[in-house]
Amino acid sequence: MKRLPTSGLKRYPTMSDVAIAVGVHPTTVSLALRSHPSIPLVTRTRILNAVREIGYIRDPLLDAFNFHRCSKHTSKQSPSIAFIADANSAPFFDGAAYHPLVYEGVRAVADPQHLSLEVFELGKNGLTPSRLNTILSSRGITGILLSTFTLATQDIELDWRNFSTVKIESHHLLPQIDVVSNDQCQAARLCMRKLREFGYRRIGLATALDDESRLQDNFGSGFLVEQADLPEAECVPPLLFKRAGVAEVAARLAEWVKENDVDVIMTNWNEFFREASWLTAEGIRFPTHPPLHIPRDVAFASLDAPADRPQVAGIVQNHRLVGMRAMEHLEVLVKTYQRGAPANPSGTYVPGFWRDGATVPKKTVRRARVQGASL
Amino acid sequence: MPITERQPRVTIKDVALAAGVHFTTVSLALRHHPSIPASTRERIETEAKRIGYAPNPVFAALTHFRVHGRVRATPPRVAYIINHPLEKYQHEQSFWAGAKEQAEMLGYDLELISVSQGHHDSKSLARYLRAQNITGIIIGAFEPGLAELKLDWRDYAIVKIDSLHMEPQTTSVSNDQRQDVRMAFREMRARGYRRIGLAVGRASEESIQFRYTAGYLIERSSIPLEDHVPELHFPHQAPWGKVSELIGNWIRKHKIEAVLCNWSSLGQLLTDAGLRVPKDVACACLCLTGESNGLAGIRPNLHMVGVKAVSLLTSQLKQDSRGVAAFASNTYVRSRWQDGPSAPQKIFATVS
Repeated sequence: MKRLPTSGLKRYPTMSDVAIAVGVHPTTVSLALRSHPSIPLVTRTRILNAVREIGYIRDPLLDAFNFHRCSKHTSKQSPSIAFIADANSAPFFDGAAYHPLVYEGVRAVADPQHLSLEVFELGKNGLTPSRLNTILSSRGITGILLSTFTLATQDIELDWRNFSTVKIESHHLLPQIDVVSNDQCQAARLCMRKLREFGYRRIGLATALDDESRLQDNFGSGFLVEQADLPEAECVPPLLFKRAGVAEVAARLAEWVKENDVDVIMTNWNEFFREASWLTAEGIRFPTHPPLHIPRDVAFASLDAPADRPQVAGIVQNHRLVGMRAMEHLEVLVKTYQRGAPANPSGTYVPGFWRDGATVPKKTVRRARVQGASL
Repeated sequence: MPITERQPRVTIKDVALAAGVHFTTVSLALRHHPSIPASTRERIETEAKRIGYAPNPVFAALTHFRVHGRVRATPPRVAYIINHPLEKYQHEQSFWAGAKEQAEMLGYDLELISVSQGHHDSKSLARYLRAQNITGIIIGAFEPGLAELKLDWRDYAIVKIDSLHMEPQTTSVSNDQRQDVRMAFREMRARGYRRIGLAVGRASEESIQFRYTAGYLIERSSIPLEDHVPELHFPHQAPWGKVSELIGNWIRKHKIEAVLCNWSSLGQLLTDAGLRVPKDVACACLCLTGESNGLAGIRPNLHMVGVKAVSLLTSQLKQDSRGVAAFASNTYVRSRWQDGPSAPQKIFATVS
């Protein structure tokens, strides 16, 4: 196909332009854009870079044709996916109704596919499930992502048969449908192995009772299975506390640390690091009686190490990936009309990784002994 | 009916005419819309097959563009690789059937390849996959000790079914062993059994990262201490007689009332240990696949495992993510409890 002379007129870049820029045949560009295996990765990367640089997009004429074709249809495309959050979940996310990184991951999958997404906060501005049900059905929304819900919500009265749904984290929520979650079991196991490597021998797990019910006892089962191979003297009974104010939890924690001679606390609670008056130059100081210093008296590993507190060592959960996996999962369900609760729901777990930090110093017990001997 | 070149393309309207329904019903039925009863759908599918209906790729592309704002690329072919004949195991056939069904549903062409058969070693397999333009592979449950797979993983989107013991460490799907054992534990408690023991092979536990033990320990932690029983892990490669002896001694020593085990030959194992089921000891199998042979236990949905494997693979292909992911997810499909004579309601009258 011959192109018209382009003098003066701005014309759209084509695949041939990309081909010339990279020094390959146009068919190679075409194949590379479709990730054909015959094109080596380096070539593909080069071509994709050139595409970005030149600003190549699909034939605009074809796009226009389709636009024309679509404009005959009166209905505008409405949001296809609802992201339903729980207004009560604010304590989990520093005041937000959902995890910003999870949401970012969801968008990262939805946006490139032009899947529009709308956030609904149940409990906010009087939004009830029945009202939401009406909104969703009248807008023709068929895909739902359920964000984290507190135990106060055991089920949401939506007409589930009409929706493809994926839950994020909240295992307790009925009906039983596919869940995508951080792998808390893996987080607990990996954390424990790291702490042992660092020389800790009295590792204690502390978490809120409601967190465990919400998360299918995943922290606990990971912790117990790691303890199974340890000598009795190195097994600390886990502390499951009732959700309460930070000071109250800290007091409970301090008591348990003392009773069980815990050398490192492993917990998903980061609230202690939000108390400005507790922070010291070395770490934090629980205002208990007597006060408990982290990491001087006891080390502290977070099972969900916060991004904005780099001094906290522990497991970094891949919240963004959880959002991505959930959206991908939902997309398949919507596409294949898997609506309502399946007979055999699935759980998809995304692993986290370890991050060093000041709250978990390497134990120097052995070296101290050697020094003691030399004195 | 064979289609010659002169005949016009078969459309859903032809299928509608043949099946005696409206063409929109055909469209919905072929996409498994829940509003179409299964019997109608099956009738329509049979008709569609008989008269040779296939979706028009041009219309499909246009419609896709209209709805999603982009043209669909050619659906890639995907491979389902196993290392033994499919006929060998019943559970393998369930995985495959689920995978096949979901691939068709999502418009992918799934090909079964067995690397133990004939000419396929890893090198020739790589050549073959390349020639066939296959970039997505599912590694079906590989049997340890048979042909292994060594491909340049960077070239493929990969999902594994079970096979956690082997490379690559990537996205995997299996039944939910941890929840399975918890379900079995609770069912046995509900039937009045107090001292419930877990007996599993160490080798199989290693291959699933001790997920049975993890589930067992969390359940055990919720019951009174006097009911606690230590778990039994059979050593590697233990012969039948040895396992039977171990399990018998363990049951007698710890006064175990109910055994949870992943062996489908659990009944025979206990009989050989000189124990009568359920008179001396009750039991539940943690993975019932074929006939239950009088065993109560956990019935996994292997079909759904296959379905999920394909779903995950297609998502990866769409994102163009290849090779071993830094943070590969694991997906577990929940199972169901199945009653059986090996786990009756405990009769309390016998307890003095």
